[in-house]
Amino acid sequence: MSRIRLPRWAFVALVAVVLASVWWFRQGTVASGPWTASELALLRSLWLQSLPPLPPDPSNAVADLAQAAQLGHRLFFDQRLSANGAVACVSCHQPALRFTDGLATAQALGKSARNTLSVVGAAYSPWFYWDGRKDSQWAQALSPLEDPAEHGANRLRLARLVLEDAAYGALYAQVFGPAPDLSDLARFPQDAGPLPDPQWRAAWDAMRAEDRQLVDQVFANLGKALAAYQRKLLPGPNRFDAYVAALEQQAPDAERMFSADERAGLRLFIGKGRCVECHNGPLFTNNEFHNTGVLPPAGSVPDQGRRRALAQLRADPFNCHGAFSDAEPAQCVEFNFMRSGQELVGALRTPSLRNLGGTAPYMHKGQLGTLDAVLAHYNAAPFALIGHNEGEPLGLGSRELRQLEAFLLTLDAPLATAPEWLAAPAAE
Amino acid sequence: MKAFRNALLILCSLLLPQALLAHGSVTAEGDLCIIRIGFYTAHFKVFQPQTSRDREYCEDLPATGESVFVMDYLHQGLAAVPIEFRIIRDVTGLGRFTRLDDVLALGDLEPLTVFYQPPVLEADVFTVLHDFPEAGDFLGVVSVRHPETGELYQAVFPFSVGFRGWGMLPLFVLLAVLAQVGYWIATGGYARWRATRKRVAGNDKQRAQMLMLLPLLLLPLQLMAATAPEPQRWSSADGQLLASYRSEVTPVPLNQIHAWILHLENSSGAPLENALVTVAGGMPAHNHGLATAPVVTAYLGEGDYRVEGLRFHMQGAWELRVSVSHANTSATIVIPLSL
Repeated sequence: MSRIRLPRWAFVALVAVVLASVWWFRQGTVASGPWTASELALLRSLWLQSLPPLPPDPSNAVADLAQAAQLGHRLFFDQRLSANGAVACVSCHQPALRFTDGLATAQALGKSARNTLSVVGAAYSPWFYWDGRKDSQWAQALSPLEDPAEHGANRLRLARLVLEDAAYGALYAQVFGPAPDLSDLARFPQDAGPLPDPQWRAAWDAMRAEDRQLVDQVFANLGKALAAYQRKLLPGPNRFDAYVAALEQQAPDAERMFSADERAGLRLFIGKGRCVECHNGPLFTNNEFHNTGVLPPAGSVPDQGRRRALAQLRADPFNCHGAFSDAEPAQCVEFNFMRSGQELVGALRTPSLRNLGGTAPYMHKGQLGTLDAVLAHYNAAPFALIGHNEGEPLGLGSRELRQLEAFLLTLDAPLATAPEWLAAPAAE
Repeated sequence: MKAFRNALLILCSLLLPQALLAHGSVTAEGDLCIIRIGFYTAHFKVFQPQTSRDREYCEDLPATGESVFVMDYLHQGLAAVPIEFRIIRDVTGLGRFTRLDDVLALGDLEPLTVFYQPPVLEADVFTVLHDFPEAGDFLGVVSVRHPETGELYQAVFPFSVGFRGWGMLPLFVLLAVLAQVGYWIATGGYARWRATRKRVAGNDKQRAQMLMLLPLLLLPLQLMAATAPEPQRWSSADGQLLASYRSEVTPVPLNQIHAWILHLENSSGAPLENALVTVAGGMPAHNHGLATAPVVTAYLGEGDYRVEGLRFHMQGAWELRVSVSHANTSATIVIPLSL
């Protein structure tokens, strides 16, 4: 038998293969090994139990008033608050779909420019809409009412509708005190508002400044009642929270609460996948603005995002510094110290992941229909058409993407809100 | 072989001027295409997101269909002037040699116009979208009027749409590669490469052993990093200024706007009174700034300054840069922190 002589290069190759296998094996054991102390701290930071109490809204004096929430609850479900009597807030923010609509972009009287965001847990955010062009929940609630693509109403008609409705009028007076008398049609026409509609606009411009102020105040109050209601819509504990609770108590069956894939996906979420950089904290969002290079859908230019919203926000009469805000100027901390600059070109707000179940399609224009597509997008990190994509290619394999998706699916859960708030209020 | 190489050089030199040629007011500079509208400049790019996703073009577009034209301002003056954008059919017959004068000579552009964006103000970046139904040659005309002098500045860039072929370019590239390989083999390059390989092979085993030792060498460094105590005060580069801070919310919170009391003193421990202090910050590893624009709102005495409006929106390594001006001197202190 002749002895086989290995050439040197083959020997080197063999050593390399052995080293690579050892490394690969260790990778595997790291991925399935116990959580380290710093990983556990990160898991705890994402846990629903770490969620602080609802922050106060100094710009809305009735934010936590029970009657205001009742009034808001009714307004939220009331289709009369629209030009055609068929659109309510709930038309697009449907309780069964975690208060979204299941569409790429909202559809009411017309088609909106962006995807409907969930309002669950929104009260924790300093900014509203994808581009943060509103700085309070009550100011946000006003926009759809007058948007020609949404409710398409005008503020004078809405103010009159609420004040002249017997049930509303009484609740309104309880919450906001005596209402102005809008019965003089010479001073307060049927339809008026500072809107694209030329007739409504002309009627509004013809009104006296004090009268416009009265109407604006009632209009702002409707927003404040709607905000008081939406503050009740809060996320409930999901499977991830149960898993972290079990880990915290060092329960012996903790590891049986998550499958191997879900666990590996969670580790990717807080590690290699870098998801937790923006989707952080108990709501899985930092509510900040980031350019992630999502391609525009057919027929539209890239979304300018936050950069364009800043001027709108500063000019908005319903912002925190405006006449209808209940906050002292110094209390408007987020507004006072907001940043601007090129980093915000194409930047849009990080959405919470706690409502994933009912909120497809995803992204600001609903460009991506499935979680699969979303993960593929972040894994590839394409160039942004405008501004710069803050993400970088992740180099995740198809198995890792599947594991991440398995983890993400553990995040959805029913709301922590009492069921009576999730359906239309009982008629008086 | 030499003759062949010379022929190749000539071919390449024929290619060269074409590659450097400007498309009207759009020129390629390094990786970027720059459009010049008078003295205003912008990074110019075109995308066809429906067909080629995030692929960037700056002149000829491969497909018909939706095309997004982007001008990323290099000259911030553009943010203050309304920009008008027009695309016309190229009837000059001059193709990429078309200049502004040729366009002005066309007179009324309206009948030739396929896309028109009336003057509009945009903050940092200008975008328009046009859906080209068919292939052809076009001219883009960008116009801005100076807000004070009233002078009109215009830029013209010729481009073609539905340009699919690469012409003779692949052939030239193939020829170039073949010629280079042929030249290399003919001059004994392969034989030399074989010879070097044999010499190097002997060292491979030792190298592999060295590589295996590398993690061991790095171990003390890792231990040092893990045990190094975090300093409570940070100094400027010249060591003359020291800063420390106290967060009004402890530990420094994630996603919550809050204030710090910043304490400044000189190297001998005397508090720095009434300095002009500004703060900025960001995540060096992510190359982005803070989520807010914090401001030093008050001097509290004893070298203490109140910094309001700090919010950290990601976990990880941050740094806060404190710039201090005091009695004709200025310095920056970098405070690292980890969330």
